[in-house]
Amino acid sequence: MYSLDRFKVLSVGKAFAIVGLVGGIFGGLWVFLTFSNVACMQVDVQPYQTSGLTLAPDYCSTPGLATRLLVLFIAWLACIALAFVMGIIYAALYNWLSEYFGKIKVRLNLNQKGAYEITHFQVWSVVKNLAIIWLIVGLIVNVLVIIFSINFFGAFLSFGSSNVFYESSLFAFLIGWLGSAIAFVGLTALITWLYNLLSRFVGHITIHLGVKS
Amino acid sequence: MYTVQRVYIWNWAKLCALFNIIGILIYAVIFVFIGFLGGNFDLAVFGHGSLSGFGVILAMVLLIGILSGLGFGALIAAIYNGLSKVFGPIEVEISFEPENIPEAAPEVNSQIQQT
Repeated sequence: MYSLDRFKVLSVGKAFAIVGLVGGIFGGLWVFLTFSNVACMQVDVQPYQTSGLTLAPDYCSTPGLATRLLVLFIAWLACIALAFVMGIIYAALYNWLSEYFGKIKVRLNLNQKGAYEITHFQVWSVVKNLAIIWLIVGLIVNVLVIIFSINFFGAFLSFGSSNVFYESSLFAFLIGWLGSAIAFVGLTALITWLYNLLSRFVGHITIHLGVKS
Repeated sequence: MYTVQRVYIWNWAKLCALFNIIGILIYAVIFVFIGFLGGNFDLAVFGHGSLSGFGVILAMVLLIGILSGLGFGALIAAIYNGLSKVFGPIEVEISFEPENIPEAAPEVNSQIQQT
């Protein structure tokens, strides 16, 4: 059994950025295709309704091709940047927290081509590390989501009292944070277990390892 | 420090496709199960026209899932192989931990302690 002791933080950030680069193309395309609808949703119809004017059905003008391409490009860059930062955060948290909670353990097999096959992940070691990391990352993400939703919905929704509003926000935060952590742990355990079970049929993750002094 | 110099594209593609299949099947089971719990089993399954209609749609979604999984996995692995040469590969420290080492017999332990 081999243990993954420490990742070089920047190298993981770069690898994540590559995934963001590919995912960002699909995400950017989605934004590109749906941007006209987003623009329509942002139209403030209130002045037209109160003034008695009828809102023309073609009021929402579709942004031009140049604008949509610009949005596509910005969304793509944002995906790459976000993935890069997330990679750095994940690797740094792993290096730090795995000192206390144990490293991820894998079985490696050297095949005839001189490449290493990851034949088995120790499920508990993976789940425990990712769960702890997600508890921290999820805490930050959910706090940001709640702050955003308080600012966003607070301006539109009318609650009986402000206490009800903040209590429901706290409840939503706890559900969002702990619920997503439990779901994340379950999903990670399932994926790791299924990998151990099924990768022998479709092929293990195979990598060429080099030694860097 | 070890570096992940190259990953096998075909293996990544197959694994991504496999997990897409599993995800879609789980989603389909949940979809039908929720419909069943809500008393809308007929709608959940036969809302697609018939049981065979549901099967055809599931098969199509599975086919799209397999193809997109293969494509996405292969694309990520290929781009990693290409770009890691420019920007540097993943670097990781690995150490070997022997497992399942049988414990020494008590008499051997006592001999060691005496010496």
